Amino acid sequence: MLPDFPALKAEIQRIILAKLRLRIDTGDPVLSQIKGFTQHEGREMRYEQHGGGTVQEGFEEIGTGFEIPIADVPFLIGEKLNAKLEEIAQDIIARSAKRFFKKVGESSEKAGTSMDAGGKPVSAELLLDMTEKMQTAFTSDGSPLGSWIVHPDMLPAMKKASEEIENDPELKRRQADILERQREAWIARESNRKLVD
Amino acid sequence: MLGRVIENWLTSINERQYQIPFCQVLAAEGETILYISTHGPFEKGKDVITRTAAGEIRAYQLKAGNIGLNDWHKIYGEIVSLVELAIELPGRPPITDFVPYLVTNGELTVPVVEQIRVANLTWRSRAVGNELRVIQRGELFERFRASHGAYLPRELTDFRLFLELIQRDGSAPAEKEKAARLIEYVLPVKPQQQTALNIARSATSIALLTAYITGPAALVSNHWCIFEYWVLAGAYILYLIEKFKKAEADCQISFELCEMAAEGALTALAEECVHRSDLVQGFPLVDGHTYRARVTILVGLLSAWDLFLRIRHKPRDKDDFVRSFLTTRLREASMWGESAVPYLFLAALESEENCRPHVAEGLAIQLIREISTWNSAFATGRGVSNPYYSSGEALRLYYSLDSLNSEQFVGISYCVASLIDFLARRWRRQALASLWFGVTRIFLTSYIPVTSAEWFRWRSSDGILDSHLAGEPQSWESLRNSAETLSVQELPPTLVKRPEFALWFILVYPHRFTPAVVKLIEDALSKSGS
Repeated sequence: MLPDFPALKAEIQRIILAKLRLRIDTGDPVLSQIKGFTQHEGREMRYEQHGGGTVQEGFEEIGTGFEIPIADVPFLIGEKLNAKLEEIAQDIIARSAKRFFKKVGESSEKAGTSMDAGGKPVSAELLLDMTEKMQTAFTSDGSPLGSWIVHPDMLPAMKKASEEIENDPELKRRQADILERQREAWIARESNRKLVD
Repeated sequence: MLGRVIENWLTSINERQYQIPFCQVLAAEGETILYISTHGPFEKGKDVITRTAAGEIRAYQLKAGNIGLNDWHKIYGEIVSLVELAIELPGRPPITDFVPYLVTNGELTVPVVEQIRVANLTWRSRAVGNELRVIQRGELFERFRASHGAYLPRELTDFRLFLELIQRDGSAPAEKEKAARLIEYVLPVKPQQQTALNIARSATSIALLTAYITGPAALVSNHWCIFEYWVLAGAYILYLIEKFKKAEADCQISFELCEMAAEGALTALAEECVHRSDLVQGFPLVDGHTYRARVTILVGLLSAWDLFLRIRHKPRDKDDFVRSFLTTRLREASMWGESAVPYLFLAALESEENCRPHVAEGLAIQLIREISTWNSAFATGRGVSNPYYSSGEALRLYYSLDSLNSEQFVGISYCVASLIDFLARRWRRQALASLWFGVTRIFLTSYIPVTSAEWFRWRSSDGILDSHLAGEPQSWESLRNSAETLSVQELPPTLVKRPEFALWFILVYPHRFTPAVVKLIEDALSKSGS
């Protein structure tokens, strides 16, 4: 074989993989908010899904392929290596996000929490219907927790619908009623976290 | 090359260190072990007593190193006891007709051989028919090597791993992952082709390999490390029995020897603790980082030892010491992660057995509170490490020495469910009520191996990670009922039959600390009537 430095390269590889992992974990604004965990044994997991009963499933591999032309190898350090890692990370993030939204869609469908707008444009009515259907948690000062994730193309329509609610007293009152019901439901859920007879 | 390793090991240890492996060799050769000395004042010159398949009784006196004339004169009294004193075994008449053996991992000088010849003549003239025989290094080594049969590391990678293990720093914690990998390399792989004899031989090999890899730890009296390796070996022998569903009787002696060696390590550790005025180990300037973890390990190991003796109804000559050790040291213990929970749990059980239920239940309450706070789904940190992280690995995370590790632990706990059951069985409703809000913020998780054999693998591949949320609300009545009636049938039958081994198993395999194992241990203690 040609002269090599396996221990040094193993150490560099460890650092590079940790960097890549960090980039993947923090690279997407939605996925980075999801807490993950590592399963150390076994090939399947079982858990209870809200409205979906007990789910038992295995793992799905998410990965990507990449090519390194031999001619690039001497230059694959520093910025160039970082750029390569970024390319790999972005590919994996895109695949993970696609898989995530597919899974969320399937789970919502199963739990009966999905809504089909039937091709209608986003409106204040639709926004209020969606707010009603979402299970919402609240902070200790009473503010609702949660995020809306929308495609950038939909953002102007969402903003417009929000402003419509803000400027129409009737819609605003309906929104306040919905939030109040949500708050009551949340308090009821939180107060259920107890031992009873 | 492997022969050289065995030979090197055999010649570098003392008689107490090769006693158990030697018994394993005798058992593999077909002798039934009747007695193994604990080196107390009543041993009467006999370290091991066996019966051959033909019914012949044999008594062995073990020595280490070369034996010259001076050494012979020093041990002569013991040799006379070996040859002349009758063997007394419980429930049997005294045995005067047996074959005495002097065994050494060194060699006898020519004058000593001559002394033995004349001594045998003298005994015969006095109508003592027990002729002293000798086993020296060469024969001993050959018998060790032969006992492995085909079950030895042969591939280069296995062999490299073996060398790595026997050359480790003896003062370090056990390298369980590597030891398990080595054992799995030498296990039989095709169940349908295995005879009971081959399975038993594989068990023999596990025990002998374990003896070799405990060598470095034995040289520096690292009892914790020795204990862990022998429990790992015992677990893998149970794996063999469960996997092949036969040869339990043939493997039993190997299992018992592992158990005996593990017990010996704990006994030696207790002895050392009795004589220690403090628990500082190594360079005091940096020991503060590991001191509390050491105390946790010690309270757990001593409790495991005493609880084991209780279940087995064996004499407990240091029960007062264990009690006072827990009273004074438990406050210095800490939880480095969920792999510390089995240690603290056994300390809780021991406290309970010592009529201090408030300490036991207080410990369980504190553990639930800490884990459910740090691992709450809304916690901001990474949480308390899971039981797959050893004490050393967890401390590395805690002191930020593992900067490349980004694993998160929030949102789940592997141990809280078992602790909830423990408190529910003690009717601690108010305490649980105060903890319940926090408990509902984490997934209660346990790994369920698909087969009984998988339970004993260091890392199982065939199983399901089961997670569920605590009830919201949770009926106290149903919680208590389910905790009290929890079935242990999901556990491997070999473990159910050996609940005292489960005490040690959860220390060495903290990822198998499940509600059913905890129930098994509690039931055994309750039945032991201690």
